[in-house]
Amino acid sequence: MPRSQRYLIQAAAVIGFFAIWKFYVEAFEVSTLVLPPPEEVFVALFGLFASGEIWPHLYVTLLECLGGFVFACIAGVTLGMLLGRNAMLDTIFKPFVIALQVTPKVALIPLFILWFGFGLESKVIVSAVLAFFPVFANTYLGARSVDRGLVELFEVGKATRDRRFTKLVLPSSLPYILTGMEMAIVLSIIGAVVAEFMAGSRGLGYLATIKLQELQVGSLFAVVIVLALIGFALYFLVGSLRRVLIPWHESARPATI
Amino acid sequence: MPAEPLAKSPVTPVVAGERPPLLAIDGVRRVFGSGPSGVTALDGIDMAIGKGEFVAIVGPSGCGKSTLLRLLAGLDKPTAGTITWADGQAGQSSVAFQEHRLLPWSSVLNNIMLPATMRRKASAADRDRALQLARLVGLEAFIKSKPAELSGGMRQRASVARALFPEPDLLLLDEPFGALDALTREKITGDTEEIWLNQRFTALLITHSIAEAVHLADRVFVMSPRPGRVTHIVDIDLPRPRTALVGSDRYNALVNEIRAKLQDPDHA
Repeated sequence: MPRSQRYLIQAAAVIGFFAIWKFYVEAFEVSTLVLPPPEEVFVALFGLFASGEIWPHLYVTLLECLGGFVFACIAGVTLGMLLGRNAMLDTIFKPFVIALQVTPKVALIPLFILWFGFGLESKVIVSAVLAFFPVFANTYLGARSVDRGLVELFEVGKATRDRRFTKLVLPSSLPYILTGMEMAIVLSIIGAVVAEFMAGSRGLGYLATIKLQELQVGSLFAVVIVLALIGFALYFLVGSLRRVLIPWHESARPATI
Repeated sequence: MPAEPLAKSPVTPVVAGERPPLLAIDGVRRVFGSGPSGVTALDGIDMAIGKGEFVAIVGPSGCGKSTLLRLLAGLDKPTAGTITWADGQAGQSSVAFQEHRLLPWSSVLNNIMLPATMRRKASAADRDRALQLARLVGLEAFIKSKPAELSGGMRQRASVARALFPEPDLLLLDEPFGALDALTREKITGDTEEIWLNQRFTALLITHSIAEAVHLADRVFVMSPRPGRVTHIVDIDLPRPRTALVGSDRYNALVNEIRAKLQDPDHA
């Protein structure tokens, strides 16, 4: 199918979605408190930006989730590599990692708030904890999936440890690490927003709870749309790292949405 | 049941010509697993390789050729027996594997100088040498290409160039041209002989192809499987370069002789 035709179909599908939404609200006389019509959501969305109300919240949420994401990447890659490449560390720490992995991390949020307060720090930490695991797990997998033949090549050549890491282990793990990062950026947004729901005084999660309390359901939907757009933009940014960092890898080839 | 010790076999390990020995393999045995389920991959291997000699090992699948190569590369240790290098310490060996094993994220030039960069920072001299080797194997126009952009034959050329990079004491060729089509294979075999004639490194080639062994080697070791042992050594006394001789009567006679020995390992 040619590209232009594909875009046309996708655009028609999106328009169709809003048409069905509108039709449903009108035909079944759904209360605006349950589901406002699409135009009301767009007006609310426009209002949030026009009044400038959304900017400080947007800024705070972005700061939190990007902070969390960066910490998650640093910790996830470091620990993934250490445990993936060192049998001793793997043996010692694997039980802890699994225990932490199966714990519902959202249940820990009150604890983090207790420890780190109501400010930015607790949100960054919640975001980082949520985003950590995909980075860690994928890095770990990548570190253990280095091609056996290439390892032998480095063995025959009597490679130094450092060089084997930088020339072989790290580049061959990069596709895995990037997969982990793509999953992590989405989770880091969720972490930040959920933490704001629970104990926020700023941020899009906090704004959503305020809009709910004020029964401004249109604005609530608008906040959700803004969050989705942030998620989309950040996911796209992280995804495009593939073309920069691993142009040699199959996954860097242009895919279709 | 243990195999007949090699002393009773018709083979005597002799270094061809007047070349000084590079390494000696004495009574090497390699058993995988243990107890009754253990598989004897190699048994009673005695072999001496002279400096600057080109030897080939031919044998059917499962005769332990690759196991022997792994022992020589230092990737594995013999269960019994010794591999002794003439100057006392293990020399630097270098392998061109069956699969090209190029780093997919590195350019051809960087792949060729990997033997240097896996140990230290590349110098200008390393770069020059890699460039020179790329020219030698006919890849000078592709030094910036990634392996995925090359044809199968070009990848194997790059792999051989990389194996030549460290000026190894022993170059091990593990059927590096096995996956290529017959025409490309013949061309690369001829090129390899030419490179060897210029550089005179010591080489050990493992191959399924008798014709390739006859084309390249000074001596051909014929192996038989289960357990892997050397049954015959055939001296190839054809003048070099041999590309023009491929298909000639003398050439075919040697190929047929080796084929007969492969088919009938007990033939004296």
